[in-house]
Amino acid sequence: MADELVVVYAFLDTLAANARSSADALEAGSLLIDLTFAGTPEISSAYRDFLDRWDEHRGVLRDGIAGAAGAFGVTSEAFQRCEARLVAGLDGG
Amino acid sequence: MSTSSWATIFPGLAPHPLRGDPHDFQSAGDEARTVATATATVQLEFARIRSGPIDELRGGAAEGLAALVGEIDGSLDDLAPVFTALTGILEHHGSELAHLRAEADAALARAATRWNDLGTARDQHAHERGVLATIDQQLDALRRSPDPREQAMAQIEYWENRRWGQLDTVAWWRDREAGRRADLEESRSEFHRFGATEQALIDLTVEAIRHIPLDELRDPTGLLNAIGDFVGGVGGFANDLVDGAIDLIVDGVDALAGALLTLAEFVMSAALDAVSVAIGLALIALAGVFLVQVFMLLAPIVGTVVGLGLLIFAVLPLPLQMAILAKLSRVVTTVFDSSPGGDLGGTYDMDPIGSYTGMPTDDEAGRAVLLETLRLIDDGRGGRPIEPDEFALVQLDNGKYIVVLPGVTDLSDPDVGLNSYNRTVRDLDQYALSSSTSTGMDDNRYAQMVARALARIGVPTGADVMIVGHSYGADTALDLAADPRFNGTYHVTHVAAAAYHSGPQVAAVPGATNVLVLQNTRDAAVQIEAAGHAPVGAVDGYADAVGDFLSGDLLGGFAELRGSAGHAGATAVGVATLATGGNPLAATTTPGVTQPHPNHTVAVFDGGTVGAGHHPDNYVDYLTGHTSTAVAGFEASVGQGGYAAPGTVYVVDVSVPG
Repeated sequence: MADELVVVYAFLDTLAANARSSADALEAGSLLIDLTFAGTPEISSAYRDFLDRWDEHRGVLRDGIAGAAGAFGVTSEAFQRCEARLVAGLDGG
Repeated sequence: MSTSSWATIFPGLAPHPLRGDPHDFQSAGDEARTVATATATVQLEFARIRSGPIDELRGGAAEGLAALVGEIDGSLDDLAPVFTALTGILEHHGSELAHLRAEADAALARAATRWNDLGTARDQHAHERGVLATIDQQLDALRRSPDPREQAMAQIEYWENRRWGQLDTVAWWRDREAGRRADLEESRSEFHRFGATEQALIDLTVEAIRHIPLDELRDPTGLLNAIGDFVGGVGGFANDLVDGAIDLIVDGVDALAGALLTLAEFVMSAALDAVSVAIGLALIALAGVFLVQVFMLLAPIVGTVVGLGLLIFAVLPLPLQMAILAKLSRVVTTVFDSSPGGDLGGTYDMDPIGSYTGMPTDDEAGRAVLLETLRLIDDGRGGRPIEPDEFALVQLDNGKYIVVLPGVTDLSDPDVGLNSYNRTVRDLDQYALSSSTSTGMDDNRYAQMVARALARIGVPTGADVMIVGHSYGADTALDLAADPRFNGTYHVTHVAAAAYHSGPQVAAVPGATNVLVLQNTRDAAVQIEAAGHAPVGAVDGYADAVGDFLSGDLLGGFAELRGSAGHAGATAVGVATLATGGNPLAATTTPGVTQPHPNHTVAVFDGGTVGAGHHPDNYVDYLTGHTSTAVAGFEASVGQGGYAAPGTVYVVDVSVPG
């Protein structure tokens, strides 16, 4: 355990909000249109394959960052609960 | 004449040598650039927070936080280059295609000119051949004429001269037509070369798109794992924090005890033997009602011996007392500070330690499985024990698995907090106690780590799994079987839970899972668990004190009783129960075999007393000699379930990440 403990709730909350907005931005800004390259089905096929792989990665990543946003929020709450318990313990409660 | 189509010039060819449209690639490039910009913006926005107050945070949780933020940042950081690469590929193709288009247009114009020139040459050639034919007809007519006159001869000579000249003219136009035709064929070749060049460009682009390193992007599942570790770490950290507060309380009790001891020493140095006898009695009183209860109820002889020992100790001269205390102190220090085995880190690492036999006789196949796995808990395999920070996983050659879960490592070796040498999850005060009053994985970190280990190792979803657990391992086995997140991901067909008061948990296990609970009535740990799950901390200390006194560790026993009082500080009822002569050991279960469900068997028996009845040998002995048809039925189902098969024994590290 560290000798010193500093928890900045506002930072954790900001981090959670930032992660959440990043997840939203990723959702909105990374959607590639399924294009067709007329006359060149080979490229259309390669592009579609890329699109499928990207969509899969993008989905997991978006979920991951959204999950991280939740984790940051939970962390902030956990520390606040922990602090409350410690304070109660010190007060003899 | 003019034309704008290759098909007009070369019937049978496509209207254009190129298939692609540069506009499509330019649009796609713009699209990819937009995404590249968007992902870069997301990354930059997220990265901004990294230079924020994260540096102000302190502590282990902060390190976990920084790691998670770094994981997200890394996941975002490598996205923009992917789309920058895609943009480059598409723009390159569009640019090259536009260039080819321009060249093809110029080639078409050239072909049209050649086609026109060829037409002109072909027409003129035909015309000149027509003139030659006329001359030939004229000559032929003059030669057939009967007129022998000189004028006629002169006309023939004239036309013959014309013919020679015309022959040259026809030859010239023939050559010219052939030249123009060759030129036009060159345009046909150009048409095909354009097609081949575009095909090469297409192949290049397809390869480039397929090799965009999407697969090399940071695996987002790593992010999910990091979240899990982080949240788990914070949970552990929060627990550590609260436990730290508890430690403070315990430390306070320790300080009081130390002060009493100092006072005793002072008084003993000032008074003589008679006073020392009184102080010896006072020490017994300090040990409290607990000591009397323990020794009078559990082991009167031992209690008497120890009591006499204390009395003898009390009347000894002070130097000898101090020497004994110093020696015992070194023993205690050794107990607390020496490495019990295992190591820090390497969490979820898996190592093979030997083969699994699984080759019993047919009619006792299942029993042999239980015996082999229970012996595995204590003996390991091939001289390699299951270390304190490990559990065993038997991978059978038939695709089934047996999870073997040993119990806590600090029941007889008290160790407050996580062990500093191995941070094993098999920890009594940190994890086993919090798990003892519930079912499912939520309150059982051991179960959570086993579940995660199986997932990381790659045990396939839906695999048949049997779990054999001893003590806290038995608690964990039933918690895993009772939790649909585990017994849904894997098909837990059998659970054998030994040396734990598992009765209250069995009902939570699905009926489809076969369960065998084994409880030795002489197992001190089971008796204490049966005495009631609350006040857990007090019972825990009480149990450790029993273990310490039985093993002759007097100071350890006192320490545990003090710890017990510390834990019980918030549970007045527990203290009252113990202090007023309540006997947690009185709740001994009754021998017999019951079946709360056709697939669930609880066998309580009067077994051996090895290791205060808690050692796996007591359970091996029971299985070797029992006559219960219900237990035999469970054993038979284990054999029929395919677990009596050869395989490999692995050990898996479950050190709690720091």
